[in-house]
Amino acid sequence: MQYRKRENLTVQSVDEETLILDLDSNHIHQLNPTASFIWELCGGGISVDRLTELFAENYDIDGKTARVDVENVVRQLLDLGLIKTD
Amino acid sequence: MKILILRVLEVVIRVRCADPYSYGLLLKGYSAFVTGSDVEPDLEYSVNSLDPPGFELLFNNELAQTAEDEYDLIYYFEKHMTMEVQKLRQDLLFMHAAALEYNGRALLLVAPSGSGKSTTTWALINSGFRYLSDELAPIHTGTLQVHPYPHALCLKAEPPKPFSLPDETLHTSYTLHVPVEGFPGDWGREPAPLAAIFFLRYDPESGEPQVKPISKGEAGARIYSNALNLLAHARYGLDAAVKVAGHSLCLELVTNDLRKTCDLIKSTLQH
Repeated sequence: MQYRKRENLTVQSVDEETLILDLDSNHIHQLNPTASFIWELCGGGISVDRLTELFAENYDIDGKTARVDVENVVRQLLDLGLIKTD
Repeated sequence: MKILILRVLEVVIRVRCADPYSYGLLLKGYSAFVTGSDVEPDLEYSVNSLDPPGFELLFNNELAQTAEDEYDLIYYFEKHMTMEVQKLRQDLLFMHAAALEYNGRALLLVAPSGSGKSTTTWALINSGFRYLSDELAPIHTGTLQVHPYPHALCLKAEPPKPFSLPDETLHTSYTLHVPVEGFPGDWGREPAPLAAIFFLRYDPESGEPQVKPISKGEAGARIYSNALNLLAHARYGLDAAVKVAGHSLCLELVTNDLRKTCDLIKSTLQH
């Protein structure tokens, strides 16, 4: 399954964080640096396996820990409607 | 007929008051904005007294609102007038915040209504800070200067001692309005560069007041949530909010004791 960013969001990076304005739900979301890293990778469509590889490499952590973190963030981004599946 | 001419953020407003009482009420609320009478107004209001007691507020000769009492009149006039000014000053980002000046630099106090913004503002005015506003902070998105909006400071309750209110205070059914003439010092008359934003959280159980930095992302989100005219700005105001956050010291301030809170704000700005 591929994950990609939802359209029609207004986005601005601030330091290592990301602010996402969703005018459909009238919410503004603040992503911390790790969520921002994953969000950015979702630009062109990406699997959890590939996200995990890149996340583990970037944060220098083992694959099992990275997988848990990635799945948590992806689930939250899906729940918030900020990413979608293909 | 008494006529009040106000200049609010360079917008000229003419208010025709049918009687001296309503004129006196609005004069107390907006004395810092009174200007000469030889200028063409951008906005036209009229106030009529009613029998039974109350007021009619007209905008461009059409009824805008009927007010039951003095509190209502000031509330409706303020709300309508500031909305109209926002339409004419789209270069400014209007924030729901108190603003003060200290050593030539502006600071904002951001908090929900009823959580102590105006009371803290009154205490700061009595601690060497200059008043810019207790409710509306217009920020120029280019220069990041905070413009004064010095209407009468509005409280919902008497502040604790030693921050007693002056005799000039106007009492309405719900609010206390302190005109700028009742302040212990001068108020800000010119824009001042924005230096710091304090996001207030009142916690009487927290012991000492505390201040801690927050990330620019969090500050940007909080600024966005407290901005009033976002749609007047590019990308729904998100860039403007982030710019303001990026150029300011952004802090969460847990408040309780007023004197200690003022001292903490002062020492934070001095460092």
